[in-house]
Amino acid sequence: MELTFSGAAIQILESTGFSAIVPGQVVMLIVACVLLYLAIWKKFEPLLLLPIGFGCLMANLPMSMMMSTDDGGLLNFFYQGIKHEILPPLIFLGVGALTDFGPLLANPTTLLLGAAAQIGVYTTLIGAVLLGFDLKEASAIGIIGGADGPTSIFLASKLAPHLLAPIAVAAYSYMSLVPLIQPPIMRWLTTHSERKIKMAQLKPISKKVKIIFPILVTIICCLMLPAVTPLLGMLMLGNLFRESGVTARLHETSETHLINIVTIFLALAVGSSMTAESFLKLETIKIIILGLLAFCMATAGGVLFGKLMCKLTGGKVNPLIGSAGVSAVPMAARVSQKVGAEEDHTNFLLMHAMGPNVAGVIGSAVAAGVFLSLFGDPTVPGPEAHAAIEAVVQSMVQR
Amino acid sequence: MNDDIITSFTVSGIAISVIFLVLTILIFTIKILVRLLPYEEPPPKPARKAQPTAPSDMDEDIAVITSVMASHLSQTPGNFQVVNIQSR
Repeated sequence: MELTFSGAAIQILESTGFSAIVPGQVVMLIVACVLLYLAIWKKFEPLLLLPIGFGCLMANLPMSMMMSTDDGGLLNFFYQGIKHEILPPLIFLGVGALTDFGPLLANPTTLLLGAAAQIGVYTTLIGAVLLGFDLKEASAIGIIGGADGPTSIFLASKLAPHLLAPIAVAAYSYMSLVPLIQPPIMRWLTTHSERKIKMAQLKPISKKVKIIFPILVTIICCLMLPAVTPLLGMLMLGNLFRESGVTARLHETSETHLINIVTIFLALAVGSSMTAESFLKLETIKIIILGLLAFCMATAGGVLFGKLMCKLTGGKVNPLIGSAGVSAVPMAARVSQKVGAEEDHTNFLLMHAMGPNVAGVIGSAVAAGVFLSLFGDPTVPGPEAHAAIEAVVQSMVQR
Repeated sequence: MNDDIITSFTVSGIAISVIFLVLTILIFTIKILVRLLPYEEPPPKPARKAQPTAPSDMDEDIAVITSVMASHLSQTPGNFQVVNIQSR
């Protein structure tokens, strides 16, 4: 083979990414750099936005084979962890190992605040349908209001995989903005006197209750909503590692190394799905707007239900803890504490807010389970049960 | 489109009801559980009995060890100090 100097130079030039890059990829590289900037300099959820941004950066370098759709590429392998529902449940295992359900068990009625905050999910679902998304897509977008990244990814990968990237980015971006989004809504919906309410100290909970709780939740919730078992089951397994006291090594691994490793895989896989074709669309802007609506409505729902509980209990519940029902553990609980302390610096709401906060995790997982029961692929497991669900969905569609 | 909007309202209504139902069941379960297994104060730990020491024996041991160490290291006993002796 004869090779001239100019021929070799052209061949090398054509083999570089510069010759193959398209405008869409340039825009996505800028988006990736913005995410990296927000993560590193603005400290917006850096543990997630940094690897997501870098995954996006690598995926948009031409000929790098790093897109989630590039068969045989490195990030394609990571993406299989999302596609096959492996990574989000493993994150939940770590979250369970990190979570103390004590405040929730001491004041179980705060579970209702976790349920009320899911109102954001459903108002966003309706908003998404109004903006032209179909019901599956709208459900995946709505769950952003659950303020729970792994749940959003889990549901999006099942109901609307083509919207995974914008949904994940919106969910994590707004979660990092919880301290900015929530306080104005909380102040607007509550009075000075309500914000000053001091709550009674939580009663201690026996070790046995803490051990039995994750087992019972798994049995009850997973029997009612089998589709939620991967998420809720793993959450409760992680918690059982923590509370049983006999699996110290598993508990330590779940809450540290495992969750860190899985976070890297998950975030890189999400980043790798942020290609120009999937991200630079009008739908992305709609999802970003709907995501904000979801967080605002979820916060409002929690606070308003907190006000209702305040009235019903004769002023024993501070409505500010309702905003923590949006999940986003533990940031939302910290926001409740901060807004309460602004009014009265001797008011300590943090532990009270942790109840609805962890209830929000369960609530958003249950919300995802409801969507999966209604819109999930009925052909996967359990033909009889899913056939019944399919019949319900078909009758709804026909109507 | 209109059908989808109506369905989205229906789905929202059903879903929020299911969430409240599931979490209400959990509330009652927790309440029953807490009533059946109430918190009990852990029994106070028995106060540790002070280990009887025999200062005179200890001092004697320290003196012997100090002198042997000083001789071995070719130093004066004031250059180092034996502070603790533990028997195995």
